[in-house]
Order: sequence, then C-alpha cells, then structure tokens
Amino acid sequence: MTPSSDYELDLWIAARKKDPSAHLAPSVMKEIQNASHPIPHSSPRPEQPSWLLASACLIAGIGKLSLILRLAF
Amino acid sequence: MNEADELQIIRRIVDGEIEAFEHLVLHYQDRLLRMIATLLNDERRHAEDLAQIVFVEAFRRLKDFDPARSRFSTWLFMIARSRSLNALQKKSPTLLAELPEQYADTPEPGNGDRLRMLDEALHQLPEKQKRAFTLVALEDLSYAEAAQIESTTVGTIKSRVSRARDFLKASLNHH
Repeated sequence: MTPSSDYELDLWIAARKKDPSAHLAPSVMKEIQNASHPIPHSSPRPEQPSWLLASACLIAGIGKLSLILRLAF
Repeated sequence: MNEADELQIIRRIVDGEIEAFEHLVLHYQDRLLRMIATLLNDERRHAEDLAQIVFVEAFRRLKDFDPARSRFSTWLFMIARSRSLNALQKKSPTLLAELPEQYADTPEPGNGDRLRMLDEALHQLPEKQKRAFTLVALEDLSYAEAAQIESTTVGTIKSRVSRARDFLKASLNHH
C-alpha cells in the first residue's frame, strides 16, 4: 500500500463526515408529542336527545294525531 | 453535551418532560443519519425515514435504557443497527448500484472520481466489515463501543476495520 492511498482514504473519510446536516428534530418531536398525547375525537358525537325529550315528542305527536282524528270524524 | 448532561436530560424525559428529548435528537441526528445512510448504501431519503423511526423507538424505550450497561450513544446506535439490518433484509440488492449525490460536484477534478470510487468500494465491503468501519472510522466510536453494538470482541472489530481499510485502499490502487 502506498502512503498516498492512506492519505486519500483519510480525505474521503473527512469528506463523508461533512455530509449534509439532518433536520429530524421537528418531525421526531411531532411524532413523539402525538404518541404521548392521544388526539381527542376531532368531531364530538352529537348529543343524543334525552329520553324525556323523546317521550315528550311522542306524546305530543299522539295528541296531535288524536285531535286530527277527532276533528275528521 | 457531556455524559452527565446527557444522563440528566434522560432522567427529565423519563420523568415526563418530553420536550427535553429534542436535545438528544439535535445532538445525535447527524451521526445517526450518516451511519444509517452508510449502512443503507447512501439511500438518503430512506435513511431519514429510518432515523426518525429509530429516534421514536429510542424515546419509547428510554425507560429501559441502563447507563450502567452502556453509554446512551451505544444504546442508540444498537437500535439503529438493528433497524438498518431489518431494512436491508427487506430491500432489494439493486441499492448497491446507488451513488451518493453529495459528492457529485466535488470541486477538484479527478479527486471526486477517486472519492466516488471509495464510495462504491465501501458498499462492496462485507456487511460486518462495513458496519465496523462505519462505526469506528466514520462515526468515531471507540473499538469497545463498536464491539458492544456488534456483540463481538474488540479484537474482532479491530480486525474488521483493518481489513476494510485495506480493501478500500486496494480499490484505489486497482484503478
């Protein structure tokens, strides 16, 4: 082996160490934050009508229907 | 960042201060990406994805890190090595033909060709020699750290690095 090949090898090693810098921090931190804080449902389920409200609507509907029948006959 | 600072940061992260992990990412991202890129035959984009995965895995497993058994850098590089090997097994061998873009416009005419020759020769090395050479010569890890990462002896690592250097030098003399 010649001394020049040693020199070239060292030059090449130095060149490889100057590779472009990485910019991983933003994406890594975003991934970690997401994994650490589970995202809540983006659109909360619509509120279900209460049984009370449903019953009231049903009774009112029946009342209206019976009134119509009474007027008709 | 010295080792004591590093351990303090790790303790803060384990205690719930997630944001402190960014210090570790910033400190290690260049070395980790270079190492993974070399092991993946200079596939930079793939290496970036993998480096991100390695950091996230390190974060998730950080509470298992034992400073009495290894340095953090050694532990992190062990995760990177394992992930890179898995990725290589899944990838096709056509990657071997890839040339690194970063040396395409090397200023000195002729010199760039010699550097590219060495890039090619690096990827022709047997995998174990390439890993040992990458860790010791390119990433400046100690022989002991490289031996721990590769689960082998210091003597074996020294031998692999030496053979890798000989192969690389010989590749220059053949042209």
